[in-house]
Amino acid sequence: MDSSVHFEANASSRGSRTRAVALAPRTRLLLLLALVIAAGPLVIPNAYFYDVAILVAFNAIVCVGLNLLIGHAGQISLGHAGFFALGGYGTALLTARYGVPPLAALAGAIAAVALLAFVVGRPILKLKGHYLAMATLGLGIIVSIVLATEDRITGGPDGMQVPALTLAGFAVQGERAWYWIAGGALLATVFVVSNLIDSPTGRALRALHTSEVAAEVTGIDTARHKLLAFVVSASLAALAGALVAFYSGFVTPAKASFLHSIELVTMVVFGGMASTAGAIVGAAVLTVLPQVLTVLKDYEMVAFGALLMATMIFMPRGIVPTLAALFSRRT
Amino acid sequence: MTTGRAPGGLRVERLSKAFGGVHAIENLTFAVEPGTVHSIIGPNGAGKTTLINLLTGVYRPTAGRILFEGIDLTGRPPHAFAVAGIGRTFQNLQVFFNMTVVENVMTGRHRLEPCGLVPTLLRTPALARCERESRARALELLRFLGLAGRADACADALPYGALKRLEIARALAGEPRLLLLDEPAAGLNPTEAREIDELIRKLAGTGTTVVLVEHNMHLVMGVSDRIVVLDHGRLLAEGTPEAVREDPRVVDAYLGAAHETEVADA
Amino acid sequence: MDAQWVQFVAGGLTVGSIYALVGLGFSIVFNASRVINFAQGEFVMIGGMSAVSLLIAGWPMPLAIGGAIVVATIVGLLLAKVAIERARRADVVTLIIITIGASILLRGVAQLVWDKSVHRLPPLSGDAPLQLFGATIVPQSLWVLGATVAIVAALTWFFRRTRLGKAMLATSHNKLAAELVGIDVKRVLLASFGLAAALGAVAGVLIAPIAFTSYDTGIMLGLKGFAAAILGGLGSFPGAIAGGLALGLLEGAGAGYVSSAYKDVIAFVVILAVLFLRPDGLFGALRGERV
Repeated sequence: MDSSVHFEANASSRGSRTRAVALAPRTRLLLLLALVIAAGPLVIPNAYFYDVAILVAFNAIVCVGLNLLIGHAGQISLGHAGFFALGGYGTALLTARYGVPPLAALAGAIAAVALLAFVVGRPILKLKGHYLAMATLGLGIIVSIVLATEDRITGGPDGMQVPALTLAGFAVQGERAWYWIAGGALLATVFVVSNLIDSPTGRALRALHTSEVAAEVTGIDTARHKLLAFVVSASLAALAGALVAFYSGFVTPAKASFLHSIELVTMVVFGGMASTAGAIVGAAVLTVLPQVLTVLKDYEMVAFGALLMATMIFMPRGIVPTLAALFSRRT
Repeated sequence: MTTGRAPGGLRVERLSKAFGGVHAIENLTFAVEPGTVHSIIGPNGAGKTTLINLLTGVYRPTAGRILFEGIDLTGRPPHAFAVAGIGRTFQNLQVFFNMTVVENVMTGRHRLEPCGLVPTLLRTPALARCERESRARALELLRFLGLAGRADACADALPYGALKRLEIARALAGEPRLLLLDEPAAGLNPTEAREIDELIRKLAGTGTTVVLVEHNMHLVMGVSDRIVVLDHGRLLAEGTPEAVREDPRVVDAYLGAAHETEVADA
Repeated sequence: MDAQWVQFVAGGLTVGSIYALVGLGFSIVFNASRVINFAQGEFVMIGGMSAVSLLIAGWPMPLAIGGAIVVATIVGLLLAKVAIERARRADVVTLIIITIGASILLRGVAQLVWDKSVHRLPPLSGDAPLQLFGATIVPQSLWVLGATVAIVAALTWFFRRTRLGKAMLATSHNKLAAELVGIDVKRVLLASFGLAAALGAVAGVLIAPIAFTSYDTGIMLGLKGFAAAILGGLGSFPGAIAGGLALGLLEGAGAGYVSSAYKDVIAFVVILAVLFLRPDGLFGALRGERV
């Protein structure tokens, strides 16, 4: 049927009919997310749960960006916590030490991290696979050690205080206000990243994931695109780090730890790579799970490890892709 | 020489590529006239794919020059070759399996779509329009190659023959003035191979310069304007199909006696 | 100045030997399964902690050490059988996350079986420091160096002369070809994890008298072992050894001549520099893509 090179008249009209009815997947995700965020206050009972929801949102911002790098562009970073922490520390330093207004400090910190990622990214992204993993890991560790050691600037292992975020002169306080800020930031992140994925640049990233040679040969400057994914994901991590700094009122070097970097990558893979929804679900589950498991007290770590292993063994592609495949088989 | 500036004209001068001690390509000089179909043949290991890789910037030559439309592309990265107007397919398929069929072809248009970061991140109406056009053009190409019915299927669902045509569609999406096809008929049955033959003629008819690496002598003899014969990385012969077919050195190294070839490809 | 230099070299080689053993564990598992086993450091911890427990229970030192190695090997085999084998068709990234889960699980179990405090194994031949070439060296260091040399020699014999060892080497070069000639790849996988666990346990038992041991010592040691394996070229055994020793020496030099706070920074900066010059590690084969 398809082995001829002759004109097929029916194909395009079939395609356009279905396209008129369905929304693009990225629009569906955005609407669903907006609905969940808007419905949140109706189901959240108290301040503690607001706190958890806010942390989920911040982790999701990092994960959506990291998923762009790992899931779509096929690169790896085991040092993203470094960018996260630098976002927080940059904001802290600019506001606490130099009196820069909070929003400007936020923008400044993100810009600084983006610049760092740009400078460091070019040489680092020439590496591949486990070697790239090691290089990013090393980078993250260097950041965390420097942050912990240079105590005159950074306050050392105990970290430093961060003044409150002020919008139009009013200090942002309380879980409710932060809930909307976190939710809004997450929506904006998903909007921007989804647009990036479903665009010529996004296709270029996905192409170089599968075959760098083929991507190059279609005119894609793979080095530039890898760097773009790296810088965008680093900037998003910095944004989350800065927001967390304002929210919690302090920053510590532990935020840059190698264990935190591993946590972030685990969230992305657990939720499902190359899936923005997966990144959000992964962040949500793995942020909430430790809270839930504290009831097990001493058994918390054992339970967490066992659950992580079991999920990845039985859902090797991650939660969202596995569930999506299950549902599509039924319909 | 007119080959120099004309659209799609290629000139290769004293091209050499060595991998350590192995001289994959040695001192190769030939020219491809624009709008013609040029085939490269030779026994396995003769350096045909290496040559294609050199002509697309995937390998850097150890000596010599590559001039496309009069511009020296030697030593440039592969994406520069593509941007200059050269497209190719691969002997070992390099289809983007993590995308749909139509997305594969849309990716092929990359060099024709400059898109800034901000319009991309915000999905401006201009970008959305660009995407719609890109999809429409991609569907046209899929129709041309008989793949339109599976436009939105994931590329990994396609059978081998369809994948070979998908790669050609992707290469054509970039509107190349020179198209390099590395064994496009390999692994195809005689019917599918005849379709490739038709396709190449159609392309040549539109003025695209085609360089073809093939083992299928029937296809090669039927469709080529000129043939380059490689043996152990060196130019063995170059000329019209009739001349090459009769050349005793070529017969010796590769073709075997004329009647043997015809029986094999019947 | 001279004595100080010998001191750093001795300390560096001691720690480096431990990194080399852990790094070997990473390379062996990687060769069999393309997986980076993030639980490798936990095998080191299990070795040290088990030896401590067995000793407290009254076992003589040699049996305590042997017992600790057996415990760790069993854990390694269990991990391979229960988790890795079951998920062997999954993406490498998924397998890595499974080993991350395993490392968390093992740390959690360690917390329960033992406690959170730091323990020390008595050194194999006493605490009295020796004077060698003007430097002060603890006897345990010599045990570490000697044991590492012996293990490397034993491994070389194992991979070159025994059937299982040769099967493991073959699998690491080409899994499909190995299967086609009748090598039981599942057995190779199990053996690799078992061997890596044993090596880790030996490292743990050797270093516990010097650097102490606790439920979370595995994290940093695992990380350093991974760095050693990468530095030398992932999958290369001489590479893991060279990488481990180099890393140990770098740390020692960094701590001695710059600052002990920045010793890890210096080590990682050098690793990054090496990777930029040789993207596949010191002994890594430069692979190309056939298109």
